[in-house]
Amino acid sequence: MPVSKRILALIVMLVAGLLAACDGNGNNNGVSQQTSNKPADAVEVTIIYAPESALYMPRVIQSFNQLTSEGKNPVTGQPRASGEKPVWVTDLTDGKGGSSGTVMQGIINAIIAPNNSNVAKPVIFEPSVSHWLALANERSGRQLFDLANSQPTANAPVVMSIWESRLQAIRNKVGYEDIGWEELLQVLNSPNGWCDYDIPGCRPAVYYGHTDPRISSTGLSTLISEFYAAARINGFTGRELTIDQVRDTAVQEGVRNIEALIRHYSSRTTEFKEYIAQGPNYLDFVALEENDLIFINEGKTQYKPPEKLVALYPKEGTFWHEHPFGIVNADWVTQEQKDAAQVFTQYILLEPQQEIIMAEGFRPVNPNVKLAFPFVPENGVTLEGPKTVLDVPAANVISGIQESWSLVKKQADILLLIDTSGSMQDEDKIGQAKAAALKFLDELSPGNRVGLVSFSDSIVPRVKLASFETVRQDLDANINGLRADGGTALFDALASTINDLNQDTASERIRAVVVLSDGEDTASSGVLNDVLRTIEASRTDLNPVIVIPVAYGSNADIDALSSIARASATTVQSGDPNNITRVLEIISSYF
Amino acid sequence: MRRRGTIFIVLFILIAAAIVGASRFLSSQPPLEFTVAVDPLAQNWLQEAVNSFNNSQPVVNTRRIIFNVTPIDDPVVWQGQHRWTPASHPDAWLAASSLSLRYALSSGLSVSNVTDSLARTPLVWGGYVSRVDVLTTNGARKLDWDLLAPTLANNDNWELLGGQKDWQFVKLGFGQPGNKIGGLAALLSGAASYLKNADLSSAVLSQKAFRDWLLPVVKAKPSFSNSGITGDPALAMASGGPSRIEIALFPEAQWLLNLQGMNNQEEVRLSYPAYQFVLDFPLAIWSDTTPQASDRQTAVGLLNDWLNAEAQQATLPNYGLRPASSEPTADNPLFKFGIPSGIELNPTLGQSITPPSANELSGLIQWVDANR
Repeated sequence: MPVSKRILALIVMLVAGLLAACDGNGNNNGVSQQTSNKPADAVEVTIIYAPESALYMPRVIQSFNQLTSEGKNPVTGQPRASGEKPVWVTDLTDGKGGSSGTVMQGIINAIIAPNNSNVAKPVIFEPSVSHWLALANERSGRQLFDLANSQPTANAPVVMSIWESRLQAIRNKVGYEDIGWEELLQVLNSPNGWCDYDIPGCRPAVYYGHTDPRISSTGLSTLISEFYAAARINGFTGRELTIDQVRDTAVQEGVRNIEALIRHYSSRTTEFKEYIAQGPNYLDFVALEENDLIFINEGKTQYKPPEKLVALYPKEGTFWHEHPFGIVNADWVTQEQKDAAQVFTQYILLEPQQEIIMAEGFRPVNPNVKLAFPFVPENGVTLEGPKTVLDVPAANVISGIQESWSLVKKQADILLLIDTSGSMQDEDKIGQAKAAALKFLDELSPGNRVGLVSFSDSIVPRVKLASFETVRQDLDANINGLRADGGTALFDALASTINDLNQDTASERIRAVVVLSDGEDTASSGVLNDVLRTIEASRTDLNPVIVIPVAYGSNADIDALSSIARASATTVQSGDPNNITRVLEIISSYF
Repeated sequence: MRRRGTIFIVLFILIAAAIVGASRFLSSQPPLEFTVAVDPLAQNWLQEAVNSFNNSQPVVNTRRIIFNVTPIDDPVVWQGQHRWTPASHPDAWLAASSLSLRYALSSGLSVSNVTDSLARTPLVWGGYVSRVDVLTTNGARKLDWDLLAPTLANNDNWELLGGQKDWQFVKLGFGQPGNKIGGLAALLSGAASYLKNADLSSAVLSQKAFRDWLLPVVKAKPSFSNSGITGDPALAMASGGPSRIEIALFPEAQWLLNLQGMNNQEEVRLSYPAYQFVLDFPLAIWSDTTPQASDRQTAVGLLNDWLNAEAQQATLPNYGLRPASSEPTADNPLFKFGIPSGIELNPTLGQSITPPSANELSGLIQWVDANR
């Protein structure tokens, strides 16, 4: 090849190489840089969301991050513009969500008590309802959240989930369709309870449940509704509840009367969903978000409901849980992160995400998404939903309602019954049970009364049922002194403790036996049927004793404990040395 | 001869490569970035227009430029809740109202007008038909301030007004005036209606009689401070139906964007108020004497031309907004859908309100916030 041709070829190759090496975006090649990883220059948006949002939020986050990692703007779906920073969303809850009240307190702690064990520093806090954002502002004394710009992302009214037969019985009795707190209270005040409503196999007791209003959105909204109902009974005709009504002793007494229906409480909706799904023997009605009701009717709970639960949208009004995106105004959130949080907010409002949210039983906030399945009569809901809402009271009023909780909640008499048979020595079950029992006590509210009984070959009453504050030290000392030895007189111990609680027939408290047992009965003089008869006899009372069995370890007599739970219309809790503390912690929230 | 031909080809290739390379080099340089702030009412329209503007590869002084859009509510700007400083400010601002521009100037912000109006949207009354029929006695009267305020002063309970018991209390909707320009415009419409005078330039809005008249209306809307629906009450009305908001005074664009969702709940009826405050969407530029001022001036000028162009103006109705100097046609799906509910393509708007002083309005906003 002549020199000139070689030079020419070289130049052509050089030019071609130069052109190929430099594209319009300054990239070194045209090969896509797609990866599934977080881009190095991404603006990170951390989020903590309500537990029920765990049904969809992880998927929404994943699809958002996928688009980001593909070099796209997730909102437009187009390649990011030059200079546009990628946004990456990080789930601080590992896909589980966090109780709104607990997270709110964690955010406040991050500012006023940063060394507290509960500290949360998200960019976005998505509680179930904006009450928590208002409370956070009130309690921190600063505008942590801009309520006017906290965008709702998924709607769910709080409903009374009630068995269809029960609701129909109420309608038949009153002769009209629109039912609310007024009619539910009529059932409570009826001399023979459900037996005055032509319910086959009726019982006089009315069983109601709601979650803890200090940490649960549904619990808080329900308690506010109860205050409205009690205030109306006492002549309040205004539209917005004030602190004067909340502090009115007659109104508080009214709320106490409603709370008297409570079978037991719970910190989480999860327990109630499983609990009520077992049927009308367990609970008559329970306050839930509408999406929880759909969840149960779709058969997604462990137990399949024996009949349809329906949403009672109280005629007096209810609250919408709008799952607002509260962007935190604190020093750990930069302006860049706030802007990035707006991008994620826009993304979740887009139709595909809203369709995902609707499929999980939430009403879409994007009006372009037409309400459709699962909003069908078969799932116990109406397309129309609630006819009216209650006015959200001012933050100081909500705060006052929370503070009144210890005055209005149904207190409990709890007998803790602990198996100290020899088998409890295995795997240090007794050591873990003692630690769990102490934690259980830590979580109880001071207005309860507590007693302690242990059993092996015989029954040992250790601390007589008395005011929790009075006997707390005695309880601690006795629990620490428990030793494992001998056989298992489970049936005798249960029959004895239930009878003890039954002595106080005028009690208006929750009366509960929490029994922890790791094996079959080996030492009772009585039999299982004696225990079941004792429980069933109590069930005809207006305020029956409930037994909550904890099957501890792999050798626990599940069959016997299940029979006991069924007789008491409760469920067996299963624990082992690794999780017994958590199990008892959950049970403590029942009281 | 052959050698000369080779040299010619080599030179040609080198020159072509130089041109292409220079072009590629320039375009691979990071572009000059500018920011345009916008009230959320026009955000989506502006974002689409800016995307197409950026894609048109505009150049200022041989450098490519791009605009980034950042939303901010008008009242937040001039009330100083999100103060722009010489060190931190947008380059341009598409406010929802020239009122905001005027108040921003009087509060000391260094902004100046580029275009008086890029879009328009008037205020519109509306509500779910079942509720409107009760209030207006099946259309015998017109839904407006002079009907609503006295009615609510007498009673705010539907059952006593002739409606259904389970509707409970009347639930009104308008934005939080301290945050949302739509809410502020609604207040101005109310003030003009009370005074029966569209010129509020010397109005005293602190007079007790006016506030007594307005109070039942303010009390009949969801709380501003603790309700999660105040950010976008029209959206709340569409997604929550009459259980949340039954009657409202919103900018027309908010009705149009949410009308489908509202009608899915129940039919909605709309009408234009007698005292009208049209949001006019002026474009402003940040004015200073920094070295960037010249480039900014050119860049904002290019963007202004782009937004004023027929192509961009024609897309406004897709976002519920009216073009600056023409009316939408029935071809537009949003406006077409709104006509049966009461939207008019070329409405006779009521008396146009002249706003009061910033101080007078700020006092009223604070009073409203304190009362709801």
